[in-house]
Amino acid sequence: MKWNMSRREAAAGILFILPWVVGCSMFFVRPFFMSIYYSMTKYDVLSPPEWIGLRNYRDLFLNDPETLSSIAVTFKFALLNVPATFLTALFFSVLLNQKLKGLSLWRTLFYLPAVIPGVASAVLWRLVFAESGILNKLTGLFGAEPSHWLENTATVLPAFVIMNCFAAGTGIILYLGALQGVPTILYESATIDGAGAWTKFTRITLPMISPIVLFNVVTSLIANLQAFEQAYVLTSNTNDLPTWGGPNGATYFIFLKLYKSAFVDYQFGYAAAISWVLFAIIAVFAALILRSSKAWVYYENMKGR
Amino acid sequence: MAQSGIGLAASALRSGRVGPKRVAVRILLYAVTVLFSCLFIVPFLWMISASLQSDTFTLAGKWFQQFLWTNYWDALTQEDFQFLPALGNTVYYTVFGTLFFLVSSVLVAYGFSYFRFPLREKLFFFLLATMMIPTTVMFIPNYVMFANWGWTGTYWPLLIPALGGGPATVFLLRQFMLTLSVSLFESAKIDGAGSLTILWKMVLPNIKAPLILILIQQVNGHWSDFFGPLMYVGNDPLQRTISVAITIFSHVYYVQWSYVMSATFVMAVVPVALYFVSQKYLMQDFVLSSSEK
Repeated sequence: MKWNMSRREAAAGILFILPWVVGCSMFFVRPFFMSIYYSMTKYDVLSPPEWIGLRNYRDLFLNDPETLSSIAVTFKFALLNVPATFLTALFFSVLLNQKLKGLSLWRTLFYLPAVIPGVASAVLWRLVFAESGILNKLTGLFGAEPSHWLENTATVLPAFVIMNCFAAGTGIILYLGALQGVPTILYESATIDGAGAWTKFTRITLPMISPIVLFNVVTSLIANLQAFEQAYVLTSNTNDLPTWGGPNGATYFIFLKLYKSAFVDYQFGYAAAISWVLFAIIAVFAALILRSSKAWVYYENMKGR
Repeated sequence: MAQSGIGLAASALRSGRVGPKRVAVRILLYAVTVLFSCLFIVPFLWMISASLQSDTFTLAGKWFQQFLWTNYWDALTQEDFQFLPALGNTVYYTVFGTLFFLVSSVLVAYGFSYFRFPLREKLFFFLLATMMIPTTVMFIPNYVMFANWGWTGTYWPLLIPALGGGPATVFLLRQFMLTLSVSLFESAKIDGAGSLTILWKMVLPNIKAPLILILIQQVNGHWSDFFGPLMYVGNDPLQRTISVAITIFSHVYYVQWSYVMSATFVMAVVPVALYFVSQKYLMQDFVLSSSEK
């Protein structure tokens, strides 16, 4: 950093960061403000945008049951999926942390489904959920009737959750890393004090990994609120009779509604308004979790503050 | 603390150091691990099985009844599917998207690391701030702009923004660059080396690990990308990516599962192979977890 300060140096530096300056202004700052404007217009791209003030937002909340139900469905999905994938990841990371032999093999096997691209995995799971698919074979072992997982409003969200639990590998590896970082001396002194396994888990393990849990829960919640791919691939149909987020709208997530408003109905102004509602929802949820985190996240280097 | 392995536990039992309860727990732990890790790869095996047999077996829930390797070739050359062009398009998008993104991220990080210019700290703070904002609200105006430019149906709306780099990647690379010793560069500079020579010969060789990590992440991200290609390139049989082709082909009334699963396997095998190649960098992956594509 001690190169001689000169105009040449400044010019070179600006030249190097120029791609980002241009890219960020064109594809980030500009659209950020344009989308506020578009959300207050009626716009089909072919004719110029027509200013209509806040009407899109009013329509969205008062005149469009599709939007409201898509918000409800997205909440339902996120509230099922975030805890389920968290518990799955936590369970298997604790299991793998029991000083098992062949750890790298088990880790690889658990991580493998998470490596598979989203679309490939979703298409594959359509076969798993099929009437004579392997999931029905498995539940059949326990005497359950074969179910049409993806065609039934009651089972489709649980089916999505099961699919996502199989892809919990990233969380497993993440939590495993955190677990391995917990100092063993804490457990040793707890043992001397006569603490049982459960007490050690809830009083030592969970607090020690809570910063990583916070990070993972926030990122997965943000991702789940923007869920799109699985619903597009598995429960929508683009070919003969277009359906969106079936069955009967049970997986019609906000992002799907946003996509359809723009690229199928050509209501770009309305879609922009939906994108701001989604943005606000994400911001509120992220803020709520971060605020609540003061009560449940333990930072070791902040002790006593 | 804990004994590792059934053998050790058993010998410990014989020597009377631990009780039978503890051995039972170890055996149970192994049983659960083996059971679930096998369960986790069942869908993957099911995909391979379905790609190699005719659909009658797959739809009857039967495993590995046939090994029709020609299914893969048939899927590639299938006329409605046009999987071969889709594969080519995906490779094109992956190579150039990754290249553009990586080169510009490196240049921007280099600029922020070693050069002093007005407003540098403020601009860098702004770059960090953009990492926090979900891009949900950006894509409608971006689409409108590219549509007005007549760029829909091409890969330009996906490749050109990659030339701006990504904030999280710039941030990460800058952190690594700042750990390098500047005095080396100064002497090189006295010897008349230009900024680009220093970047190429002295900086990049010293940050290989994060570069490889970002490279793999970007290859995976572009290879698996669905939303971008769907929105901009769409469903033209000769233009679309494999992710779009597979989706569309699985939406027809009579799905030809053996072909779809062959294509799905080809799509899945690239990130899986990269994973095995890059395992030693894996643990660092999480620095970047919140990453961008």
